[in-house]
Amino acid sequence: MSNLNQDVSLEQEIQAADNKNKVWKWLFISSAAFMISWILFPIYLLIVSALSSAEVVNGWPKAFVPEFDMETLQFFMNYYGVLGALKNSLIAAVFTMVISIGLGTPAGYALARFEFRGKETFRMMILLTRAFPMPLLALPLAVIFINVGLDDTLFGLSLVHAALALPFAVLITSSLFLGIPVELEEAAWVLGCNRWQAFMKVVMPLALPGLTASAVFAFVISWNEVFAAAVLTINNQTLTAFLVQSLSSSPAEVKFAGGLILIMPAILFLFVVRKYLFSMWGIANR
Amino acid sequence: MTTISIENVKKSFGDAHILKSVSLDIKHQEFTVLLGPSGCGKSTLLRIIAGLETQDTGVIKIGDRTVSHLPPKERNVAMVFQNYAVFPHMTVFENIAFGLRMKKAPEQKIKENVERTATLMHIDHLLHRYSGQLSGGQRQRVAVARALAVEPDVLLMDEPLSNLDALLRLQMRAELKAVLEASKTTTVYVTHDQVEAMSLADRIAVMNAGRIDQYDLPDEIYNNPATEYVGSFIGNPPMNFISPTFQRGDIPEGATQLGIRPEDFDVSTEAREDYWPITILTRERLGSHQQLSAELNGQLFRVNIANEIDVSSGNTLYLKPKDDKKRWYSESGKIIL
Ligand SMILES: Nc1ncnc2c1ncn2[C@@H]1O[C@H](COP(=O)(O)OP(=O)(O)O)[C@@H](O)[C@H]1O
Ligand SMILES: [Mg+2]
Repeated sequence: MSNLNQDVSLEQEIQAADNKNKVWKWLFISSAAFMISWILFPIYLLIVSALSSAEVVNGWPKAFVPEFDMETLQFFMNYYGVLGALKNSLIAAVFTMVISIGLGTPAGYALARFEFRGKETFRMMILLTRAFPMPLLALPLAVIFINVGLDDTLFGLSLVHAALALPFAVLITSSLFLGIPVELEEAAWVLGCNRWQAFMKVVMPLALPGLTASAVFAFVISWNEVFAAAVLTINNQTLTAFLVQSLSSSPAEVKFAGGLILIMPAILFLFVVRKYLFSMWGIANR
Repeated sequence: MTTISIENVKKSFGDAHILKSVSLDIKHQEFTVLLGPSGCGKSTLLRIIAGLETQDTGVIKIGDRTVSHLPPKERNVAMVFQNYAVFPHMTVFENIAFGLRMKKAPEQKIKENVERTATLMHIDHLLHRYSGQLSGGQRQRVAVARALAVEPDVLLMDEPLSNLDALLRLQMRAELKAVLEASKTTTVYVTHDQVEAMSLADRIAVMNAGRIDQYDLPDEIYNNPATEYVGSFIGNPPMNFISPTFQRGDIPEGATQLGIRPEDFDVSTEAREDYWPITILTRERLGSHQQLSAELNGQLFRVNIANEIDVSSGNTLYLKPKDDKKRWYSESGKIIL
């Protein structure tokens, strides 16, 4: 009899635990759904609006499915200066990528592999560079750039963008190298490599996916940056700077088209490298 | 002739003196085991031989070449790491071939050596796999094959078996012994496991906090521990150290401790002249013999006795250390000959 009672109470307990699990599951799913729509809904609106004709964009009710009217996009692409700005954005982003990976990789390697005086301070300083808001830096930088003749050049702008991207490049690559056991390098040294050969033959292939991801990250940082671009370039405007200035007076549908063009590369790149971004932040399965 | 000569090597990390003047002469084709507890500096010494660390002072010679300041790749050594360090982005074949490729060996020789060492280590059917597709034991085999493939002057191994489970470890130990005996490569092998050391070594160097206490044949290490430390590190249970105040007969000049192994007593159930009356604290049956913890005048020690002797805790038993097995140690823990 008492045995039976125990069974019943056990069952109740299991039931209760089950219910609790269900509540948690429901909470988890709904908050995940909320966060996803937080990100996706504006993007969705942007796409719908960019691919609709002017009447639909300005009219009400809004269409739920875009009518795939390419007119606005076409108009936007042919808008005077857009193509040039697009090219400038690309060039600046590639420069930024090269500079921040070129400088960030050795710095990250040093942080990961060497003990040196002031290492922790150095790590902090890297983060501190992000403590100064761009609006604060942009004007003094503009003055300096004018003095050294870097004003209104894509290279100058890339330097600023690289300064923004470098902290990430350094920290990401350093955690990347930390994740590669030092014994692999040591094994390579013993088997006949010098430091450089071991790096190229063993560390590099293993770090490459992560390095690519952090390169893309640098690219996106530059591509998306507005403020410095708007202040530091006049004739060589990047797409963001161009849009900020020329589109403030344009009709809504053209703004949407511009917005879409702006976010596409970022979304595409992040999509392509998402696996590596996850793995270098230690989220996903390795 | 590939000898290794280590002279007065010292190494500190910051304020910590990890190696305090180590000297060691390793003979041609001998298998030397560096044995000592974790943290005593074994790996550091091995890495100094490999060139992965640089000694603060001292000289390292391999053969008659002074290699003290050469980078690892110019020492013609090979190393097997505790975590195997198999390159994950290369196939087993490419892993084993790596050292030969770096030395620009001809393709034919690379193929021959890879196949020979892979067959030796029983991984010839795995040559096209990646390390992610291998078990721990198989990775271990790749690491050894990769080291042997370069035909090094000196083979260095840092606790190569310690990540394997117990059964696999025994099997690999036996295999390694056979393979290395056949290859006749001068080998330095690091372990903290005395059984591994006794079973593999031609000669054992027992390390104690950055020094080498004794470097000798395994039997010598066991029978004539040069220091109290060696006696109490080797043997299971280790050597007993007893203050000899109650010992009749002659005590050598300066001796403060008598060292005697648990199995080296004459045992009697009745009182006899020169026998110590000991009180048994615990008795454990171990199958082949029984092990006693016993006490005499407040001193604890262990005794192994034959199964036939019937005693239980609380009983008194009479023991006499065998004369030829007694070892005497001075105040500073050194053996008195
Ligand atoms: N690169 C290093 N920096 C600082 N301390 C180290 C370094 N390498 C080893 N040590 C210290 O030296 C001591 C001996 O290490 P090790 O030679 O690895 O010991 P074992 O291999 O005998 O366990 C340990 O206390 C360890 O913390
Ligand atoms: Mg060690």
